[in-house]
Amino acid sequence: MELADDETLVERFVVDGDGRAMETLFRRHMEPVYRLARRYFKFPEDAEEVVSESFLRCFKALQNGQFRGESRFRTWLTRITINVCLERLRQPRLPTLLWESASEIAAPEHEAGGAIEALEKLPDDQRLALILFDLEGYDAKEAASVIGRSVTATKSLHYRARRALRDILELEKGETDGM
Amino acid sequence: MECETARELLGNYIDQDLTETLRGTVDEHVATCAQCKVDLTTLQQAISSLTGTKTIETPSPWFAERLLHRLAQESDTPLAGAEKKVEDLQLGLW
Repeated sequence: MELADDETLVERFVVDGDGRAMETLFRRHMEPVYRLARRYFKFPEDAEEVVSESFLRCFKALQNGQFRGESRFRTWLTRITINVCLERLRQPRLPTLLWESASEIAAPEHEAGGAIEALEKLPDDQRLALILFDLEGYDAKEAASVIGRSVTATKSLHYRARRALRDILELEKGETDGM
Repeated sequence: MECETARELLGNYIDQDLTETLRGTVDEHVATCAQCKVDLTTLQQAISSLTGTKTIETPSPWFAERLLHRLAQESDTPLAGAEKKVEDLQLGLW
């Protein structure tokens, strides 16, 4: 059986209200959207909230004709997800999971040599560049489309982001070595 | 090759995204320039530290089915078989 591409499925959903098209789009992209959200949040619950909100916005926007096909569906959905992540990060939060020890929470980050913690210290655009290029494997053209800059500017952003990450890690290493 | 040029190329060097000739020129420069060598090594370490992050778990099938059901409801789009699956989930049959 031939698999329909995203844009065909979008058309079927928008024009015919095809539930199967919606389901296929959702199942195809749910895991990547969740993975992307987990790059921003420590707890799976936060990522699940982001996934829910992102898909709700996505299908609503599709029905309202807000996807004009100027970019790929995946790129457009990624941009929605990033916006939801950033909005959520800026929301004031109540302390959660107080019963978990700090070491339990921090453990996965230490496995990554502190890189995830360092990532959180970067400006939003640099963090996004590293997530897209180095963690999600986007090419420069698609990353540029998500970020909303030219390919050259996006490559330059990625260059600066890698160096900024390195500087933070080196600084932290220096502090640890000096202890 | 000047240090500034070499440093601009280090990202592509690490990604193995340089022509053989250019890669050779960077190699030659790094072999003779201690500062650029440190720059390359620390950059490589930072990138592998980032890309070596642990695999992310997948969300539970229960979460996916619940969300799909909600999406169908909110967009007023009927899903073939979805109603039954959610009922099964609520009954713990799935």
